Amino acid sequence: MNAQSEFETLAMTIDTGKTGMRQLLTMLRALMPVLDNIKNAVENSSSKIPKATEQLSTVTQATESATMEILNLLDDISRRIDLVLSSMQSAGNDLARKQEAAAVLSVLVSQFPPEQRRALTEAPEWTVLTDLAPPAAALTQSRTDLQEISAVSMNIAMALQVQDITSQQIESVRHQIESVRMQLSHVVGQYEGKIDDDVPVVPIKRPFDEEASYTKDESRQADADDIIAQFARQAVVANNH
Amino acid sequence: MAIKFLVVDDSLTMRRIVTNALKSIGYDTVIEAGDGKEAFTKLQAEGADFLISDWNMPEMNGLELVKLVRSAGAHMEMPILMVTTRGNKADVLEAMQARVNNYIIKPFTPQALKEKIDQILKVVPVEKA
Repeated sequence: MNAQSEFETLAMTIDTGKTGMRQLLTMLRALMPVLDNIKNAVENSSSKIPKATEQLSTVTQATESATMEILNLLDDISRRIDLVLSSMQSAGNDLARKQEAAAVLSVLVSQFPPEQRRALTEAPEWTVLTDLAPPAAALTQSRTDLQEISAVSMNIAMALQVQDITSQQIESVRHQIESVRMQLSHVVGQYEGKIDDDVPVVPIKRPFDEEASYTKDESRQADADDIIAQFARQAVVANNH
Repeated sequence: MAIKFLVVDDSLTMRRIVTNALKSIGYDTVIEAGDGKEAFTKLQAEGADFLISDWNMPEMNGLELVKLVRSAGAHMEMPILMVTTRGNKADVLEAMQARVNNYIIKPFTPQALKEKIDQILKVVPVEKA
């Protein structure tokens, strides 16, 4: 191939390249508004995230306030139950003394002449005075019921541990959302050429366990107990040496 | 002998629940702290016989508190029970290596709390604060 035809080939290649470049520039020009739209959408989404995380924090505060109110009410119920149980104890003691007196009275009346004895013991008032078994049974039953209510009240209080557990779950979600927001803000900043640092790390406001769960599954405690028992055995062996 | 408990948790709800549970099983003397740092300050100032601590807390977490208490001072041998949501084996192992005496995973019952306290008191003498 001579020099002239090489030049012609080169000119054709440059021509083709120019066309390609023109097409690329046209495509980039068309892409710019799309990228701007994406940037605006990202900025718009990022601006909404703080409100979302704030709302999550509000949920935690609200559940904590409500939980404290419930605990206050449960404490009040417990105090009242204790007072009633104390009064019932006094009433029970009084009833026991009355039962003893009624027994003594019955012995005395049994020594009366038959006619007088019959007149006394067949009067409805006699039964009211001496048959104290029904009120004693009612008192015992009421005491049992109150103790059960007290236990239920304690179970309700213990179930409120769910507030701490869910607040940790919420904090975990809040932290993840905040991390996404910072990453999006970082991408926008890079697009605008404002920043080129590493993505900043989101500070943890309230430490949380992201695996916190409200479960009655006892296997986790059983596993923990196994480890504790192993430690105890090792300590005994170490002490013996 | 009244045992003085120091309950440490950043959750107001949990402090209240643990305190109530302690009272329900007969332990009425309880002081509270919201994080490890406050707990250590209270321990130095007011003393306590038994420490019940959460793990995840701001300022100073429960594990750091345990290590600090065990490192030196008048309370280095005090009974310590960790009450936390962290239930995986690695966490329990780490807590035991930091020398907690026992470990309860939330949610717990008053009976479980009593059992753990009884187990600890069998082997760790309480030195009055």
